[in-house]
Formats: sequence, C-alpha cells, structure tokens
Amino acid sequence: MEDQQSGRKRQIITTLAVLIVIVVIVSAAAIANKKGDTDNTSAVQPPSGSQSDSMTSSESSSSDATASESGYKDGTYNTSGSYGTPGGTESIEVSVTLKDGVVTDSSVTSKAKDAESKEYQSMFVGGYKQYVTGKKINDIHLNRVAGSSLTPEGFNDAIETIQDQAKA
Amino acid sequence: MAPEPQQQWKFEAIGTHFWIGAYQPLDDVTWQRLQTTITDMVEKFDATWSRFRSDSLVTRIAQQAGEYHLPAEGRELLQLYRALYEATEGAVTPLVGNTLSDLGYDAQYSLQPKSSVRPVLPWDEVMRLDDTKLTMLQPALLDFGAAGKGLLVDRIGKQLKKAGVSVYCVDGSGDMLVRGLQSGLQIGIEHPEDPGSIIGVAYINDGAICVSAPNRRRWGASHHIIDPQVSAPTRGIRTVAVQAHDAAVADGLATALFMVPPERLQPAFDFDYLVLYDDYSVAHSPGFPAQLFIRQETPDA
Repeated sequence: MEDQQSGRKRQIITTLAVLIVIVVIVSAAAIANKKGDTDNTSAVQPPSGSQSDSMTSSESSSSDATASESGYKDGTYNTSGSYGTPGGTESIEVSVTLKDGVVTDSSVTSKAKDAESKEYQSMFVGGYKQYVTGKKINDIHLNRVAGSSLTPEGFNDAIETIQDQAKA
Repeated sequence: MAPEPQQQWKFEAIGTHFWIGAYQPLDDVTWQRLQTTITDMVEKFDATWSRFRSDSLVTRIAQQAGEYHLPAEGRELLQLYRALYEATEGAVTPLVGNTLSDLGYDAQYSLQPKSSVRPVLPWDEVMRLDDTKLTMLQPALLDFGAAGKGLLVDRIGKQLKKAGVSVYCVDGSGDMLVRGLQSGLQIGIEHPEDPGSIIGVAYINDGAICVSAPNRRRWGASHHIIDPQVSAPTRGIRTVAVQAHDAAVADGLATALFMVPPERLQPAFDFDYLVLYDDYSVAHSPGFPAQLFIRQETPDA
C-alpha cells in the first residue's frame, strides 16, 4: 500500500514536472509572440501516460512593457498552467521578467487550492531554485547600497592585530 | 528617474556609518539644528544600549540583579524583542550577550573565544518587563544588535518628521528607512563576498529595508549572528533582506530569518523577505520589491 502511494506521488510529481516545462515553453512562446504586440493565449495537450485529464496554459500578460534592442519587450510576463486532479482543477503560475532581452527574474507560484495539491506544488516550487549573480555597482545607477553594517574601527583594528600576530 | 537629496549628512555613531538625505527644500539653519538634535539623541541611545560601553545602562544591568527604569524607547525595544522571541520560539533574544561575549565579541574586541561559552538562558528565567520597568532576576549581558540599530534609524526618522522633513532617507549602514518619496529609491543589495557588486536592486519609496549578513563582523570561525539553540553562529545563509514599514521590525526580522523560516514569522509581522543561501540560490516572498540578477545556468548539484 505504501509502495503504491509513493509510486503515485512520483507519478504526480513527474506530471507536474512535465507541466512546468510546458508552461515555461509556452511562456517563452508567448513572450516571443509579444514582439508583435498581440495578445496570446495558447493551449497544449497533456503528455501521454500522465494521469491528469487536461492541462492548459493561458493568461499570458505583460506589464511595463517597453521595446528594447533585442526585439523583446522589457517587462514582467505571467502565465498560468492548469491541470485536472482528482480534487478538481488546479493551477500553477510562472512569472518571467525580461530586461534587454535577458531573463532577469523568474518565479513559480503555487496556486493550488486542495491540500494534497498544495503539498505537491510546494515540493516543486521549493525545487525550482534560482541562483543570483553579482553585478558591478559601477554599471548600475543606484541611490544607496545596503549590505551588512560597516564595522566599527575597534573591530577592524582587532582583526588586523590578530592577523599580524598570526603572521609573526 | 530616481530622486536626488537636497540636503545630506554623513556621520559615524554606535560603531558604524550613517547617512541622512532630505528630498525636499530645507534651509541650512534648520538642517544644522537637526544635526545637533540627532547627534545628541544618538549619543544618548548609545550611552543607554551599548554593551561596549562601561557607562551604559546595559553594562549596569549586566552587573547586578534588580529593578531598572528604562528610557522612553526601552519599552518599544523590549516589546519588539519579546514579540520576536515568541515568534521565533526563543531564537531571537537579547540574552545572546554573554554568548557573543564569550565567543570573543566582547567589549574589548578580544575576538578570542573563551574555553567555555555560556549558553543563552530563557527570557523568563532572567527578566521581566512591566511597561518601562525591567526587573532582572539575575544579572545578564543584553545585546540589542538584532534590532537596536533599526530602532535608532526609526527614531532619527521621527526627529526629521518633527522638524518638518517628510521626504527623507535614513541609511544606518544596512538598515534603511525611506519616507514620502513618489518614486522608489534604487537600493543595491550587496553581494556578500564582493562589496563592489550587488545581487539585485530594491525599490523603496515609503518603508524600510534591512540587510543582514555575517560577512563583516566575522572572526576566526565565528560571526555575530548567534543561534541560541546551539549557542553558536548560524550556518547556511549568506544574506537576508527584509522590507517592512519600520526599520526596527525589518532589522529584527532580518536576524530572525537566519534561524527560522519566514512562515513562522508571517502570522506576527507584516513583511517581505529575500534569503540568499550559501550556494547563491535565493528565496523571496512574492512581494519583495526588488529586481534580482538571476544566473541563467544552474550549478551542478
């Protein structure tokens, strides 16, 4: 019984994985179509062998869109994918932010209503990791920079003293 | 277009750097007078709450049990700490003082850990707060490093408002309070290993953002954010940024998120957050007002 359950869980997770990939692809397609400033709604068929009844991706939208050299408009694009579960239709949302033709931010948000679906989706959203990278401050217009507190002189002096002692 | 301040002032206090900008017309006389008022207030704050000063209230509290009358901001500070203490089930507490000190972050900056490090004691075993009266059941070294600077930033903001300045930014080196701006200030979030770069830009026009990272106050194997569960520095997180209405709350929560997940804090506090982990992966609330620089390829697991 337990084996069956975990097998079922795996299957649902796999289905979700496929769905996410599809939603992301559809988002990308939607964004590409945005070049022509046409609204876009598209639907895809569920992959065969999956236990879900239907999956659709829709509601592609953009905000603060301004044209950039890359031909893609800057802005945040949202799309949501929905799929049937034994507990009813559930959806998951993908958001992609474009700046100068580069994806600068993306996120997956769980929109599940059913408790079980929530659990599966949160496993997914949790597994969808984003990694940041640094950019030189000189390249960006900023008002202020926030980091850890600049340390008092006493602290820095003490560190230097210890480093000197370590060298001696 | 991000605004530029019409008056600005930089100073050092409580062992770190402050910057204040006024984004509205303000005559020099008023600005000078404000600087004097704020300097006095900051000095008083430091003389009360610093555990690095032999003349402070905190140092007296550390020496003897008994009743202590706190100045006006004391109630606010202790109440915030109590709320954080309860929401984090003891993870954020002013009672980390002895532990930090034993680890080497003491008044002399010895930065040498003692052979035995005192554990963090439960709040109710040590002290009771009744309005502005603090009763110490036993002496203890209190440390207000988690939210003290945030509260000071808020208090500077209140002084500005009192003097008729309603559009301003108070930058307490990592703790920032912005009020009254039409468009957001663009605030870079520092890369924890490369102070010359940032990992994203936050936009704040009316609120506070606090960034906490153990990258600077670090010595030997220790740093200044202590997990009371193990009486040792936290691991796994490089930087936390919190956006909230007030700097004190944002500051306290930025420390709390090193030890407890955001879900534990959300019932008690209204905030948005960003957590940067050791592997440079990030987690943030949907409303965190920042553009992050996301790496396209993901590293091998």
